[in-house]
Amino acid sequence: MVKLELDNITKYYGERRGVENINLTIEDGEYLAVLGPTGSGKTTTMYLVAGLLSPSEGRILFNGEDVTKEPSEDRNVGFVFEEYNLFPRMSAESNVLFGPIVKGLDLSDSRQVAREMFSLLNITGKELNFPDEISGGQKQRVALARAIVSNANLLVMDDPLRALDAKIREILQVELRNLVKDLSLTCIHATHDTQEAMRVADKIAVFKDGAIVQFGTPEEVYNNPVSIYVAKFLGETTELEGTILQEKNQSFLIIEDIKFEIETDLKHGTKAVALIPAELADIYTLSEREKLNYDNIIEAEIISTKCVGEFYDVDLVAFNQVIKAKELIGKNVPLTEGSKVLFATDKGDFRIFPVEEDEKDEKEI
Amino acid sequence: MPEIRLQSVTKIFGRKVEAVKDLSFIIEDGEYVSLIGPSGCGKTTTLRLLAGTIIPTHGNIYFDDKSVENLSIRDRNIGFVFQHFAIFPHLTVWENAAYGPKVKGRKKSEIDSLVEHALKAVQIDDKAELYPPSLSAPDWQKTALARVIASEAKVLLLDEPLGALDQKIRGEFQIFLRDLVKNEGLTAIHVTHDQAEALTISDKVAVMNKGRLVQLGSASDLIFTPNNIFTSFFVGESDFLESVVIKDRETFAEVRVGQSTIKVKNMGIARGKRAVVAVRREFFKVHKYEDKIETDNFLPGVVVRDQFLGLLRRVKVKLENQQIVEIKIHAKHPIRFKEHEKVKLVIDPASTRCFEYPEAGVASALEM
Ligand SMILES: Nc1ncnc2c1ncn2[C@@H]1O[C@H](COP(=O)(O)OP(=O)(O)OP(=O)(O)O)[C@@H](O)[C@H]1O
Ligand SMILES: [Mg+2]
Repeated sequence: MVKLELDNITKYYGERRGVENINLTIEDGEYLAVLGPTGSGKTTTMYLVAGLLSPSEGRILFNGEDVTKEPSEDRNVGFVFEEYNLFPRMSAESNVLFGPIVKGLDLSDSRQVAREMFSLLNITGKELNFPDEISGGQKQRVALARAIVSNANLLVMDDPLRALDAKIREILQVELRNLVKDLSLTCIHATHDTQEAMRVADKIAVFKDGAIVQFGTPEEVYNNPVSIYVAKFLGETTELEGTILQEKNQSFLIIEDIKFEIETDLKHGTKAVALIPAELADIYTLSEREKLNYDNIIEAEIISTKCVGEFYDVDLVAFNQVIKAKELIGKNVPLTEGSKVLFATDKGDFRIFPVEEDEKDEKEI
Repeated sequence: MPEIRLQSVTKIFGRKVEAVKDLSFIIEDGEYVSLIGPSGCGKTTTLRLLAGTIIPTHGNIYFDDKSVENLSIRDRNIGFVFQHFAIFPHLTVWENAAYGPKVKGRKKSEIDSLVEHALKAVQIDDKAELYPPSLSAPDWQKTALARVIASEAKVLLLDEPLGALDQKIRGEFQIFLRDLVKNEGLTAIHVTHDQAEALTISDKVAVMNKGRLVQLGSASDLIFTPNNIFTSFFVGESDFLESVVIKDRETFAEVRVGQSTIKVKNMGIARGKRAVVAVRREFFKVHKYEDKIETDNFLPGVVVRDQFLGLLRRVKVKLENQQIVEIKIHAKHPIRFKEHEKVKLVIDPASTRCFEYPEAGVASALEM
């Protein structure tokens, strides 16, 4: 049970900025996913919350109470960090029970919880093995069990499912969320994987260069990324440049002699960048044109296709631009290289930004 | 040239942990093979057996028909690259690459030319004089690869080599790595937890589970024609329909699922037998129950949940037999399904797989 607030938190490592002016509130029982590339400040923020670092400026509040000066031990935060490895000379089970022992909790209860965690995480049977006697992914799951069994009410996890295969990861994403909700924990979970974030979280925070650039529900963030940076981070996109045309209450993006209907408040004549998420760029055969109900349909040619699991990654060419599309493999479109197809989009599929922002963005990368 | 053959290899740790069980397969010279499988299934153990850092409890391993029992680790001509870079931070890139040939006692001129070639091959020759701490993560891995190439290894063992790289760089590095292996004529065995990486980078992918080899095949074999329940489960996502075969004559068999009859691929399971039909979650089509559709190859059901995940949507549907299946549909599918709404799940028979019902039940076949 804890509501967490970061009040204008800044952390410098000597000259180097970790994070700057972070303001963030996570409600009691809320599950926050944190997205952002390496070095964007995710890990620093989580270290600060766990009390493993202290901020250069700002306050950290748990339930309204200032804990900025409190050491990690007194904060009752369970954490999973790559650098906080298992204790090498302790069995998996002792690693997990270490927290409860230090806190003087009832061990028979903790043992019971530990047993349930081992079973949930599919590592039953590894209790007595030492860390160097179990696999990479098993170690990671022991670390996860350790964080949960520690009886914390705030969980802070830096890419806790990193070294696991998609199958176990998907199962654990669901289990982890259920567990956090069942135990009414407040939780911060950093990941590189947009799908993972969308699946586990109530809210998503996107980090860039030591700051939070977007905060919202998964659906808000996905549908309305606030910048080119966020849109690109969420997944593969096609980037097009054109000019806005406002005409009779409709908005268009003009690229050479092509006119795409879009949604935007940008003024007529503005130079704009449009990003189309690859999964929203749809492909149909030429003969399907009549029955399609899209805002924009143009002809394109397939230049390459690759199947890497649930999607075909398809590159198309139209009006001298390469367009990236992802098609679920169940769709019945012959995706052979060289064939002519229809490239279909709706006006809501375009993430539109004025050009200036793009240039600024480009420099910072 | 090395062809690697494992023959009924078992590795038992302690008294009872069977990390690798009765594993047999052949890796041909010049092949790029990936090993995938659930965490703990024995991938790293398999690499360690090939490397010779541990020895099989039973069975044998052959390099070009030579049993490893008579082959020192050095004569296996193997190089490794792991996620956590095994290079010397106090040596320059050049010195790191020169390490192997130096230890082997090569002449100065030979060392020079081997290192020069290796650094060029991995495209790091412009950083020869730098020390690792000043390099980026991909350049650490390139240095590790240069070391392998300069040591004239013929077999490259990779355990999560891209694990520490940012997602954006991984894609490029995969292509770089595959090209490198092919240009240098290496045989590569690559362990990864990332299926897309395995399917992109390799000629063949081996799926392991609980220490055993489950299927060895090309990417498209594993995705479209898995030959067992576990592969269908592990590579991508499938739903499994318990059924009984009622017609088995044509290309398509007819099976009964609950109260409904559907056509599925005929994979030789006789009439009257129980079967498990595997359908990839992307292959279902979902319609409102009242919609008129052209096919009668569908299962009726009731929507439990329609979850938006950006890239796609997942719809959970309860079938008449109470089984809950989950299907994946386009993010922009025109209908948002409501809880309790009746739907038809259309199944394209050509995209199904039909397996014998496992004696111990479907769940046992999926245990990891
Ligand atoms: N030295 C050891 N002593 C006892 N058991 C071991 C030892 N090394 C590995 N194991 C066990 O053998 C099994 C296979 O381990 P391995 O490391 O090969 O898995 P893996 O497929 O590489 O998994 P991951 O994807 O998690 O790295 C696991 O159950 C592991 O706990
Ligand atoms: Mg491993």
